[in-house]
Amino acid sequence: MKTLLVDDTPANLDVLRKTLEPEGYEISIASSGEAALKIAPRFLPDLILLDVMMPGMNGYETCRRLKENEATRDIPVIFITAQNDKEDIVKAFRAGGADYIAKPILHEEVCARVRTHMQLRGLQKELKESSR
Amino acid sequence: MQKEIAEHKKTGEELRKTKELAETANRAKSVFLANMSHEIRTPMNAVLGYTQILLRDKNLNAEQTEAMKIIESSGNHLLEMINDILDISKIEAGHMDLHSTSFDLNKLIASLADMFQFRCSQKQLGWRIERLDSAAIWVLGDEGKLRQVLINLLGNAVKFTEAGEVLLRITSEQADHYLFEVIDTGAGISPENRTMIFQPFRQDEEGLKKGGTGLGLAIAKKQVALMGGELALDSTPGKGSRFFFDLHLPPAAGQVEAGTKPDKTISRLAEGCHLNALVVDDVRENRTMLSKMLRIVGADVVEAENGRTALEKIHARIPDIVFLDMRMPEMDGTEIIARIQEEFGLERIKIVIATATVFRHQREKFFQLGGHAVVWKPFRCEDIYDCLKKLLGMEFDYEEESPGKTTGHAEPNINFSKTRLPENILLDLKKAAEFGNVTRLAKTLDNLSPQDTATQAVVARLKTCVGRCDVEGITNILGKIREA
Repeated sequence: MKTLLVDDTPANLDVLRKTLEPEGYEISIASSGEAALKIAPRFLPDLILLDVMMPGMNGYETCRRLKENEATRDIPVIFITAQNDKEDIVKAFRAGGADYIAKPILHEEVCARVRTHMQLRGLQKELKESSR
Repeated sequence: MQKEIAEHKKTGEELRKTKELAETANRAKSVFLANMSHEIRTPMNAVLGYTQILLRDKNLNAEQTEAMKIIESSGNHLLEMINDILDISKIEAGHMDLHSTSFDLNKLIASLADMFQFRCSQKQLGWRIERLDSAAIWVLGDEGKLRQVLINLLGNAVKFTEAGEVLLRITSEQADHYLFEVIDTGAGISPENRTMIFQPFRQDEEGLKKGGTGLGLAIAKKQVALMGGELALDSTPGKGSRFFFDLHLPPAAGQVEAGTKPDKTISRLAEGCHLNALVVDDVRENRTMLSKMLRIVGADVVEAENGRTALEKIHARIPDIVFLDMRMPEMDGTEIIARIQEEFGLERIKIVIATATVFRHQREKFFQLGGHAVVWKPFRCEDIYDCLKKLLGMEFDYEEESPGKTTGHAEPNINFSKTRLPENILLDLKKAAEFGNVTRLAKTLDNLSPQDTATQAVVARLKTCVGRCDVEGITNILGKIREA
C-alpha cells in the first residue's frame, strides 16, 4: 500500500515517514501542495496525508483540486492540522477530507487512522472490481 | 451650577477608577508574563538539556544523531519565538531597559561572521563583511541588544535572498558614531509595505510565504530606538534591500578576557580535579538533567528536591558548589542561601543560581542575595562548566577533534565527473525521486555497494538527503551523475 505525505517542513515529513514505513507502507513525499498535485496522479497512492498550513497552495485548496481530478478523486485524504478550531475541522471535511489528525501527532493515532482508511480503501477497490 | 460641579466630580471619579483598572490590568499582565516565561522555560530546559546530553553520547548512530539535532534546532526555534513574544510584550508594557557594558565591537562582528558564513554557505549565497580596520574596538553599549538586532536583520537577509550575497558593513564617519548596514540581493520590499513590515505581527507577501511570527523587525526597530538610533530601509523590489542604523557608542576601556573560550568540546575534568556538587531543584526533570551534565565530566553529585533536604545533605557532606533553583515551594532560594551563609560563611560553598526568569536585570539582585554566579534556563552544558572553571578553578580535558566528525561546516565538494552508476539503477533512482518515493530511494541506495570512493561519497550524500526528506537535493545530485 502506498502513502503520499505532504508537508513543507522536512522534519514533519521525516517523523511521519518513520512512523509509517515500519508498518509496511511505501512512502512518497511532497513538500508543497503544488508538488503533491503533480505526484499524486502518477504515483496513485492509496492514501494522502496532507498538512493544512503550507506556503503557496494550502491543504484545503490542494484537497479540492485532488477531488476535481478523475484520477485522484477516490484517494482518501487525511488532514494533519495544528489548528483544532471547530471551523477548521469543518473546513477540512468540506474540502473533501476523509479524516483529520491533530498536531503534534500521536504515533498510535496516526497508525490506527491510516490502517482504518487503508482497509476502507481496499474494500472500496474490491467492490469496484467485482461490480465490473 | 451645583449640578455641573457634581457632574465634574462624577467624571473625575470615573476617570480615576478607569485609570486604576488599567494599572491593575497592566500589572496583572506583567505578572502573567513573568509566570508564563517561567512555566515555559522550565520544561524547555529539560528538553534542550537532555538533547545536549544525548548528543554527547558516542553510541548514537547517524540517524539518531540527526534526529537529536532536529529536536535541538526545533527546540531552539521554539525558544526564540517565545523570547520574541516576550520581548514585544515587554516593549509594549514599557519594561525593556538598556544594559550598557563595555565590549569589543570587532569581536561581536566576528562571532556574527562565523554564524552567517555558515548559514549563507548552506543556501549557496555569498557572504561579505566590511568592517573597521582595528584589532579591537572597545565601546560602551548594550551588546546583547545590538547583537540581537544584527542577528535579526542578517537572518532576514539570508531568509529572503535566493541568489547573490549578503553584506554586513560597519563604517564610522564621525567619532564614536557607527553606521551598521545589512545589504542583500533578495526579493526587496515594495514602497507600500515599507512601513507596515515594522509593525508587530505584520508581514508582506514574501514574509507570509516564508513563515515566521512577524515580530523580528518590530522588535529590532524598538531596540535600535532604545539604543538611540533609528532603523531605516532602502529597497529596490527585485534587486534587494538595505537596512541600516547609526549608533553613538562612546569608547570604553579595554578589558583582558579571562581565558578565551576554546572551540573544542569539554570531555571531562582534568586529572587531579575533584568536586562535590549539590543540585537543588523541585522539578525532577531539571534536577536529574543538571546532575547528569555534571556527572558526565566526572563530578560527584548529590541531589535535593527542597530546601530542607538540601540543608540535610549539606550537613552530611559539605559540597564545593551548590546549584540552586530560586523558585521552590516551602523554603525558597533566598532563604536557603541565607541559611547556608549564616552557617558556613560567604565563600566556603559557592552558590550558582539557576533561574528561568527572563528579567535579566535581576542579575544584580541575585548577586546581592549572595549568589556567586547565575545561569539562565535553558542553559547549555558550557554555562555549567564555565561556573566550575571560574568559581572553583577547575580544569578540563578536551575532546580530540576526530577527522570523520562533521563540524557543522559546508560539506566537501564531490567530483561528479568521476561517479558512475549503472543505467538501470540511475533510471530507477530518478523515477523514485520524481515521485518523492523515499521508501524506494532508500531501498535502492541500501542495495548499492560501489567500489570507487567518488561513487561511495555520492551514495552517502544521497542517503543523507533521503534521511532529511530533501527530494530537491536528490534530484540535483542525480542530474549531475553520468551513466556507467
